[in-house]
Amino acid sequence: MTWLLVTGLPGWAAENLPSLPVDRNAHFLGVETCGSSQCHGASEPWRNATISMKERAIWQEHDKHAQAFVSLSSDAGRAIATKLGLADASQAPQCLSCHSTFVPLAQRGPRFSLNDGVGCESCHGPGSQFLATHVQPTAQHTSNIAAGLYPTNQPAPRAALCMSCHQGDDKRQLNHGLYGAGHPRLRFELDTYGALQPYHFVADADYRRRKPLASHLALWAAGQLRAAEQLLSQVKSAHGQGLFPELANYDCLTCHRAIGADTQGPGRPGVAPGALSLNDAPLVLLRALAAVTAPSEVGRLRDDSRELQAALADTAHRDRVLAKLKLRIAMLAKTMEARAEQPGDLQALVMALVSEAHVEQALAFGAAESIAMSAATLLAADYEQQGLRAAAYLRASRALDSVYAAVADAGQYRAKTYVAALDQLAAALAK
Amino acid sequence: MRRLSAIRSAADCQAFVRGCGFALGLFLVVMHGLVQAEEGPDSPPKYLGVVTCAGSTCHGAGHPVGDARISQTEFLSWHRDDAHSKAYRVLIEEKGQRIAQKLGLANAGAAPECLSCHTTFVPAEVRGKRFQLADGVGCESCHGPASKWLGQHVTGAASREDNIKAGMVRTEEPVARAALCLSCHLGSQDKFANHRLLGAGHPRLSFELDTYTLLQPAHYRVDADYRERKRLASHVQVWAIGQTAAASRSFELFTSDKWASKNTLPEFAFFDCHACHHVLTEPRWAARATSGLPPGVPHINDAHVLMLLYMTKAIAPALSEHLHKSLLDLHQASMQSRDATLDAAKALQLVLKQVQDHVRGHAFSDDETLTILNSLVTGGSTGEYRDFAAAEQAVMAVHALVDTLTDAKRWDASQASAIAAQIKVLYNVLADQNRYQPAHFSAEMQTLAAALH
Repeated sequence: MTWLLVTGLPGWAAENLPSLPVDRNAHFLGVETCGSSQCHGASEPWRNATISMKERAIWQEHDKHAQAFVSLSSDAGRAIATKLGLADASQAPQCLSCHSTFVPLAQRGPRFSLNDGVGCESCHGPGSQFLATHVQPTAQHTSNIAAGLYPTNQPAPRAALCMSCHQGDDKRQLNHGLYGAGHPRLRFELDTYGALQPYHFVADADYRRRKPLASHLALWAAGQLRAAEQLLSQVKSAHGQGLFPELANYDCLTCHRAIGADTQGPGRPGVAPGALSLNDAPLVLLRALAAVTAPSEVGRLRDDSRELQAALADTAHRDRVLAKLKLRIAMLAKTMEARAEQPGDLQALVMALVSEAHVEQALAFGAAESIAMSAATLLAADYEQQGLRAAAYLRASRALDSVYAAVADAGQYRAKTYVAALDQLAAALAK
Repeated sequence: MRRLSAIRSAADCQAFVRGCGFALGLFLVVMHGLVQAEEGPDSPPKYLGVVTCAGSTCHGAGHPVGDARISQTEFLSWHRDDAHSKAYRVLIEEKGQRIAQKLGLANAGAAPECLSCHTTFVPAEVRGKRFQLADGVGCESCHGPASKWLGQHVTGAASREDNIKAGMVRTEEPVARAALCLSCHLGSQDKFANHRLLGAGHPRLSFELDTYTLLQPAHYRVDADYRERKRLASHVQVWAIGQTAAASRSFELFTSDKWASKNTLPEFAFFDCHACHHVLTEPRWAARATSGLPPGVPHINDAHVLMLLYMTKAIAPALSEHLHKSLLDLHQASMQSRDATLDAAKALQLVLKQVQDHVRGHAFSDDETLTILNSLVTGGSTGEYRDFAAAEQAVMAVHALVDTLTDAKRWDASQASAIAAQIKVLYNVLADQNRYQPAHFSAEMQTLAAALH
């Protein structure tokens, strides 16, 4: 398998990305329009159909996006709204922007309903732009894309799309006030969450003929690159209320831990005692990507991310480091774009993740969680691509159980235990 | 946390000198000479060291001397029971080393940042021959450098006022004592346990003047003779003055050039610890009438102001409303900007000054004390002391006030013991700061309210 899969598609750089579906000025036709029994809502696929035609049913029954709106009126949703002083979360733009296909009233078609939650057009684009060409028997993927279908199959656009809510972007931000009111903590890894969603397509021969299928590595890397870009922009632009910066960007457990607990070990490099620690998980993970794709960058990335931690309280210094890091990430994205995937990449990447976890000394919880998801999805991919043999994958899976157990409860997280579990994973792979 | 009974058995003692024999007389002559050898009339006062005060015929007796008017075991009490005597040692023990290492210090026992509160840390040129830092927080940390008054003090000829004039600190007077204790137990322009220190593992500071005076433990006994020599403040006076001093001091530091953060992040040590330091899965926020802040916002530690708010509610309602408004303004300003917050803190300081003026010299009748007690308990019952620091202050306050009223025989024996038992329960609710449950605390405060009626 080669990196050719992504060539010819829009580049990885943020400025080349298509605008997100809900940010477009076009009509949204509603789930009912796409999900009719003739199209994506069939109970049985037609003969010769290239798709399962059950996309709506999969979304409706298995995909939490379908419950996004309803959850605003759940007990938890109402409790959060009350604390925020909102009469009804399902009427609040702050909530709806990620819990529904939230577009202006004038752009909602007759069959559109906010109650559908995060529906088809949240991800695939406003139906009015491409529906006419899309339903033609002669329709091609490229012509649909040209008409406005969002390229969810391409790693960088998919990353930008998912993470606009799952991490937050310029228009959709989950701030610490929402956390304080009880909103669950956000965590995300693009390849893992794609599979968890679950996918409502089958990447069979026919699918691959119609459109390029991104590799797991490409998706993982696109997710981390995008997460890092957004993190840098959030650190620069997101202001908290009053005296504090936006606390949602920081490592939760630096503050949210018992007083007196865990004062034995050393702190994170670059983080002074008692200082806030930025949740820079994507930067930690990108160092592992650099170790595989651009080894000379690893040291510089490390230095810059440590400098960033130390510079957070000094705006001018902070912004200089942010600019430096932005360039490094763009360069890493370019390297990825040009590079052909190698057979040993996935295992090398997992080993590099383990080694970066060691370099961190007191690995932050956010990074630990991301590394766990990453290792699991990358090793599964390696097994699927017949790199990792069955026996080795079985050993690795057992080790992964311990890795996951060590991040199962944020309150119980101990960096030492976690890194020891990662070492077991590395040992299982080295056999 | 246990509050000890302050009042020891009264023993009328005779004048100090009258009980002294020839040996002491000789000692005094030697001592006098020793002081003069170190001291010229114009030289700055010198710190002579614990050993100078701790002679076996002075403050270092092994057991109370029969007819002396003081117990003379002050050194023993300090050395054996008072954590101040271990203040230096903890710096060089394991925990101190661990904290030092995190701060990048080679040795906490040699770092001014640590020594300033863990020893009688004075410049080398004012240290006498027998002075040593290793004595920790010794006699002269609190009572003042002895060189100018030791001579007259040991002869017994000097009055309390003479000694004070010569530089002895008026520790029995609550305003002076508050300033003294708070210089370390909260901080001063020169020393402050900032969040960097806390983050390295230094314990959280918590202080209430009356309680800590007793906990120390006090190395004096209050008897008729003591009262004759010194004016004794009641528990409620000590508490009230301690609260005004602590509240004023904390905002003085908060607005000072030295300790206010100079960069984009605030100095976290001024904020409520447990607003952030709680388990992620147990969100803490609930609306509070005295803060008006939304969820997810760290808030300034206002425990002392809350105590004063409920105190003034009982004795100066107009002032209380003023204080309440200033407190709300401060919290709101913390949501706006650093400048707005500093302005609001300065405005609050002015109101605190009025409270201070009201409290100093205020006699606090028993009826007033009871009204304040009820007011504080009402605050607790309605959940206003959600913050651990506030709950802690509230229990110590309630205890001080109850002691005053118990001394005044306000309750019969059975009610007094019911109240005492409930105060113990409240201390238990606070036993572990990491397991503190605000709802549990307000429920126990309601039980106390019932016990008081």
